[in-house]
Amino acid sequence: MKNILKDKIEINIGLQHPLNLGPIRFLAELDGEKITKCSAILGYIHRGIEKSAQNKLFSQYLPIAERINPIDAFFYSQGYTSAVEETLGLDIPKNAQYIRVLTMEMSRIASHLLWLGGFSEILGAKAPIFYIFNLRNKILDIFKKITGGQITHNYYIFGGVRNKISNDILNDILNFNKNFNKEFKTIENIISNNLIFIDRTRNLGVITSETALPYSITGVNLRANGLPLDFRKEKPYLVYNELEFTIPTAFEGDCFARFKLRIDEIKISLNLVKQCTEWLLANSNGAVNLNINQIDIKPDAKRAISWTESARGLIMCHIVTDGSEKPKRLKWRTPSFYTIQLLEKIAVGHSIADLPVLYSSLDIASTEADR
Amino acid sequence: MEIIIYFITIILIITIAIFIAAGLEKHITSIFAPNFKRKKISGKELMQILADGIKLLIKEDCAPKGRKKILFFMAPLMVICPIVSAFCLISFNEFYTQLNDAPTIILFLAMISIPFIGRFLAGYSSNNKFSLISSVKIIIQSISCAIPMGMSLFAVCFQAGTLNLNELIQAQNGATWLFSWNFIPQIIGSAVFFTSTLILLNNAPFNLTNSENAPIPEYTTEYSGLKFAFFLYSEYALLFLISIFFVSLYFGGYLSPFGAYVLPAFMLPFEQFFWIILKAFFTIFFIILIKITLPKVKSERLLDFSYKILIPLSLINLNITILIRYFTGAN
Amino acid sequence: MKNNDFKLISDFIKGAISILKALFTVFCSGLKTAYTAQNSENSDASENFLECNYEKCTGCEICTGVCPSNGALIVKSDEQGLKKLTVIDISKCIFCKNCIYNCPYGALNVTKQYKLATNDKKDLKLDCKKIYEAKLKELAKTADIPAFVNEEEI
Repeated sequence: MKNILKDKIEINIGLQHPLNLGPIRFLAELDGEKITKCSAILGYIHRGIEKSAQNKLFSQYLPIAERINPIDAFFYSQGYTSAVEETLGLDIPKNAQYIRVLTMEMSRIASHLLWLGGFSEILGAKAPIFYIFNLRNKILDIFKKITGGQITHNYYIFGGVRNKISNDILNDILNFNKNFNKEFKTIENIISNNLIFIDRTRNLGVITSETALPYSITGVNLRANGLPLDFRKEKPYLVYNELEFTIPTAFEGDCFARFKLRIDEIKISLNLVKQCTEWLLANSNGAVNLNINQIDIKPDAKRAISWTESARGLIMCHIVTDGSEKPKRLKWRTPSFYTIQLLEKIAVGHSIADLPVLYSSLDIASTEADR
Repeated sequence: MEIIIYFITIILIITIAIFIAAGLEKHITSIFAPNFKRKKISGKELMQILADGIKLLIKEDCAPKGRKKILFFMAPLMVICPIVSAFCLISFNEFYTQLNDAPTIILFLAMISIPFIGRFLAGYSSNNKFSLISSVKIIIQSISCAIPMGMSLFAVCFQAGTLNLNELIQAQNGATWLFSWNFIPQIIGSAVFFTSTLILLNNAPFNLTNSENAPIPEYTTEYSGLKFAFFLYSEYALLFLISIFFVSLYFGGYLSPFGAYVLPAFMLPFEQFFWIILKAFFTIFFIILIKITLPKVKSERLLDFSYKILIPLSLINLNITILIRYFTGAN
Repeated sequence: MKNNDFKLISDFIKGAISILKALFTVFCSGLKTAYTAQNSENSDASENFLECNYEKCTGCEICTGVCPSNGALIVKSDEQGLKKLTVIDISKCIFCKNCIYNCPYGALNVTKQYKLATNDKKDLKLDCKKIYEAKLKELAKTADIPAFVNEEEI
């Protein structure tokens, strides 16, 4: 048997993880209990999504764009449809813009709640998961009434949204808003003020802006160190320049700061949802889509880029069209691809028992990373 | 002939104890931390515990090639035998006890410390680098739980003046019914003893070797069959045993909280048995509630916690009881 | 280091109180949801199987053009020489409902059936004509009106 004190061991942290991480493989070199080198191997869920866009019509590709990461389905639909609408030169009506912002913010809350459940399970607590998922199921029930599905929707079309949201559903959303704070407080009592939790995540995995910016990290991982970069304010799309909200930041940059920041983001999204529903209740008579034929779309030879801020970072969709009915080239920029490379650098120097806490606090989804 | 009867009663008592502890755990997690399809647990699902035991009996007993043979064979025995033999030291009522003059508390403490050696040897003797890493954490646990437990036990013994468990319970039989139990004068000591039992039982928040979420496996990976069953079920038997011990030290054992007994005199043994089992249920409930709620602690912080907080508190407790006994003039 | 020690003790006391508070909230909410939890309802428009109204279909093949997975909907000519949607292949369908939204005659709709498990993959190809005729027969059994009207009686 090798002498553990002197030689280095190489272990394989395998494809299956007890979280919603997906199939990623890490090869870690250990020196005792400390990691000296960590490398990630991707490609186990590559489905050829970018290439398959070249053989499909524009409206045939809509369900596939949603399924790049099913948790963030609304954000990817928004990225694709706004890129194609820019090549066609269309302007969406106001009601459709407010509905799109409403559904995207609610899906941001659902994504952060799912992350919270996974994070507390990987630290060892089993009870909070049930209460968090109970709360998330209420959001998914509202989605079911609007679009017909809980996770994949097929709701955004070129020119707006498929159908109107009725006043009953809007009143349901307002009720949900009122009851959310009370129920979320019980979850906060269990997790966030807990001494053991704070002790386990403080001063762990510090990311500074000098290390993060060369890897082009965006989203919560970058804002946890004091840099207020949010693409809803930098390049406002849809109606974000008419709504009032502030960008939350933290200053330490460790795992605990990222945890607090995501909880603050949930509260800001709730405020945005409230503003949107009140506007929609006041102006309920308006067209929800321009009645375009979805099948005969033939844009001119153009090139368009759309920017969307999702729950994990920045999504860019770059589309190149020639005059035919199928796109010539479609490229997606997904945020998880870059955080995996950042993880390889940060994990050096920590002990192996801290690695699960690190990679779950960065909020990686592997279906996004190899699309 | 008598040996067969003793053998059968021992096995019966152990299986009933394991059933109670494991069954309570299933019931409590189904109410407080359930899965999403809420089915109520009925009696048939508790039979899964029995089925697990029988399945482990009939499995093949394979072992790795480069193991150390004698230590590999002895490790599970070192874990289960002291726990089984400690069942004769606890008393369920005041009539059917045998060891009336022996120092049972010291014997109990000795028997509780042996399983740690067994768990360490299990990891050391299998030819596996990961089991060795995991079994080193067992030593950290044993260091940090032994001293506070011993100190708070000795404080209780000083107050009562004996080392026998039965006489300790009788010493709590005072005039004021509920408030003459030991948890009021010894409130710091009971808290320290409770947290050190959490460390002893490998329970959250101190379950350092639990490997559900970490990429390193446990110290029992190379065991299969009946030897693995010994490791698995010894934790449940220890849970039952420790909760009865804790209750009889601090909460009055089989004495009823009303001072007098409710049922007539010839039913006295059954009534005392009922009281001690009821109090043990409450402690098991509390331990399992802690297990499902709290996250884990880092292994370096456990030693910090024990040396900076638990040991000073237990020493303060010991000093206070010695000073009070000196000044009130008892022998 | 006196400051450090006092900070440790005050942190520990705050931490112990927070842990007890956490246990108490789990206890209370566990008891509350044990008696008030409800399952979510299965509403109409969910991701279930499709069915085709055989009379309304004209064979325009828009649905096959919009389907992202090639081969889920197959249009063939039937015995009278009319082109209609004949086969829905459930094993290739991703339940995106693009075909339902884009059919100009409203011939496709969603059923409430979502459970199907077989040993043979050929059972997953649903025949639209047979399903439509079976549905008509069931409706005719429960209705009071006869299924056809004799023209001589008018």
